[in-house]
Amino acid sequence: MSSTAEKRVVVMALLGTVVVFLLDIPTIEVSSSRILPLIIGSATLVLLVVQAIAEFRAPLTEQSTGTDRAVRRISNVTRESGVWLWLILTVACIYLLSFVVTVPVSIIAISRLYFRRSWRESLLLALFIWVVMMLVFGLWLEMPLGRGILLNSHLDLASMRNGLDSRCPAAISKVGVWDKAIARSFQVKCNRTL
Amino acid sequence: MLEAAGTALASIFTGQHFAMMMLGVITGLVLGIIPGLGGYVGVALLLPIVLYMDPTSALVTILAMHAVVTTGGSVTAVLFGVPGTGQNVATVFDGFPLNQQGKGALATGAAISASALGGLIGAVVLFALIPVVRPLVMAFGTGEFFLMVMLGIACVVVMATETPVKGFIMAGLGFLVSLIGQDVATGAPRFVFGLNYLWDGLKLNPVVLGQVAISEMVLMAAAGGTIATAGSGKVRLAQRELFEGFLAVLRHWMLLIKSSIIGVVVGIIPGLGGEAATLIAYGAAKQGSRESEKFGTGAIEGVIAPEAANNSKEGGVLLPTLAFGVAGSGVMAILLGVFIIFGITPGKQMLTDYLPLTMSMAWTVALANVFGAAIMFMIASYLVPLTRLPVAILMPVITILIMIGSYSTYYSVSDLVTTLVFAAFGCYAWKKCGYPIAPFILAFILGEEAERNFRVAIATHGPLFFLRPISLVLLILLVLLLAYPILRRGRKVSRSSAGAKEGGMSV
Repeated sequence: MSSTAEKRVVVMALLGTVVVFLLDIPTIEVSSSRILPLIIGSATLVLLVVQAIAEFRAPLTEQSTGTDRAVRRISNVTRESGVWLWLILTVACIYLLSFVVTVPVSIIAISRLYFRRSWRESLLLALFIWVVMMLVFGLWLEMPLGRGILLNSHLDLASMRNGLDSRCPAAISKVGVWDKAIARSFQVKCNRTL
Repeated sequence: MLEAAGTALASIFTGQHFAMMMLGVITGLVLGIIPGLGGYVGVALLLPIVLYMDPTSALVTILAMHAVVTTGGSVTAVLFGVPGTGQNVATVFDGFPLNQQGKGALATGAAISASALGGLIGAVVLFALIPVVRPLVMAFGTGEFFLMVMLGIACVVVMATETPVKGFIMAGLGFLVSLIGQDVATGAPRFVFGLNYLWDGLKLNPVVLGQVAISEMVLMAAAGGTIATAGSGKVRLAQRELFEGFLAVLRHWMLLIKSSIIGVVVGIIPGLGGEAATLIAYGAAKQGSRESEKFGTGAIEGVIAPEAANNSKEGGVLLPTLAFGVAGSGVMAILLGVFIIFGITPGKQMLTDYLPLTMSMAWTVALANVFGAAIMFMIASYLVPLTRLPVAILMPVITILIMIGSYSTYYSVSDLVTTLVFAAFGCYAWKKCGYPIAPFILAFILGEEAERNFRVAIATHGPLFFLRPISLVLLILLVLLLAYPILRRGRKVSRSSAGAKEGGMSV
């Protein structure tokens, strides 16, 4: 469980979130669409204020903790920050360069730099995940894993197999597995009927 | 009816039907294990195949797949803290702590067994209720549905959380988040903050996987070591512990039946969904337990209850789908589409002309659960030792799988951003500061549907819609439930003061 200071930060963050929601309510154009958000938002705000008062009345636990514990806490925060940084960079890279390129690079990065594993282990792990991803999600489930804003990878197995890219890349990229299957199924049904 | 049931059973065990049921079971288990993929992807994969078959084979395949998806998901929920589907969230609460204590095989065995037995109970109830369900479903109008949702959320807050204020805060936040996007009634955008992505609202996968799974990965990576810190991790010992898990379920047979009934009842009410069934069953199990303080830290009852409800609800969901053509869930809506493709109209016809087909579906739910559990028992003993692998290997693998799972719904990188935002929320609000996650998830899932029903109820019956007989009963139950924490607190205070007078320990 966290310290009182962390609890205070969290309750204030939640309070801030609800305030942002409430401030947005007047911008909703239709009055009937505002009723429930207003009721729920106001009730949540009241409860959060009650909780915030309780958190701020509680004594600060960190003041009584020793140096060792403080050092441990700082080290933990640093380690958590490292993971968050990796997650954010991974998502940014997926956006720019696609899953196909990002996944191996990202795995090697966290394995080598964060967990301090050997090059051999890191490369093997990256290769394993990449192969699983391409076979299960790329080939079997036909997900468009090779699409990034900067780099459209030629390793998009779904597109390669179906040849869908050349026909309508923009539309196909927005169509889910489900939609594609439905479309295909109805086409099959139509063909059978005809 | 018995004759039809016998004919249907014999039909299931013919070559093609049995093979297709096993195909459905294996597909369901695999998709359940992969985080974020669930029944929808399964239907998408199977639909192109089943349309070439006869109606019984087609429906058996889809139903078998759907019946066991959550059984697969329960294993990853226990062993890695990653719910395979949204319906396995409640299993994480106690299953994962049990695994960390070295009792992963026990918890997995209990989860699989509870799933299978819950599924069987659901199928039995389906058989029994087919002729009598009509008045029950028809009695529920929009106002009743809205109050039922409120009752469900209040149940989870009051029963499953130690601090009701925090529980209601999370329920309120979940409700607000569920309202993001275009209003279903008027089309007016709400809480979109100028972002096109938010116009369609937030999806379940990114929100749940972020809150529950990614947040766990962050803490796991920061802590290092291995997931399971105790236990041997050997395959043979795991097999024995899996069997002990099965015995634990039999020991808690009352809980199994109670949770299964909750699952069936929630399943019958269209729109409430599997997540609600599991969370309500979890709350009820905690409330009914003598050791409720153990919940959240590794109570086996906390694994049995949601898993039993999870699979038993399939029997309940099938009832309104077959009897009235009212789909109780998204996959059931697709099943209705399959009915129509084959020229079958759900309704009274399903209980007369197509009774053998209806019975085949009930048998499929029962048998798929049994075969699914048997397969998972065989696989799980080999998965348990994986929890002894260093976090340095597991964390990147699982995190990437979760990210692909989040991305899989709409192939949108924005969903990955949502996952990270909710991961931070889950990590700090839930795991570090004790704000319960269950009310948030339940309110998030049911919020939109509750609002729709609330507005229709007001439009059709006026603002006093809650004065209708069933609504009034639900409202009284809601008020009693809300008053319960105050009464409980009062009782605790009076007990502690009595204890102090007698010189004993305060409760």
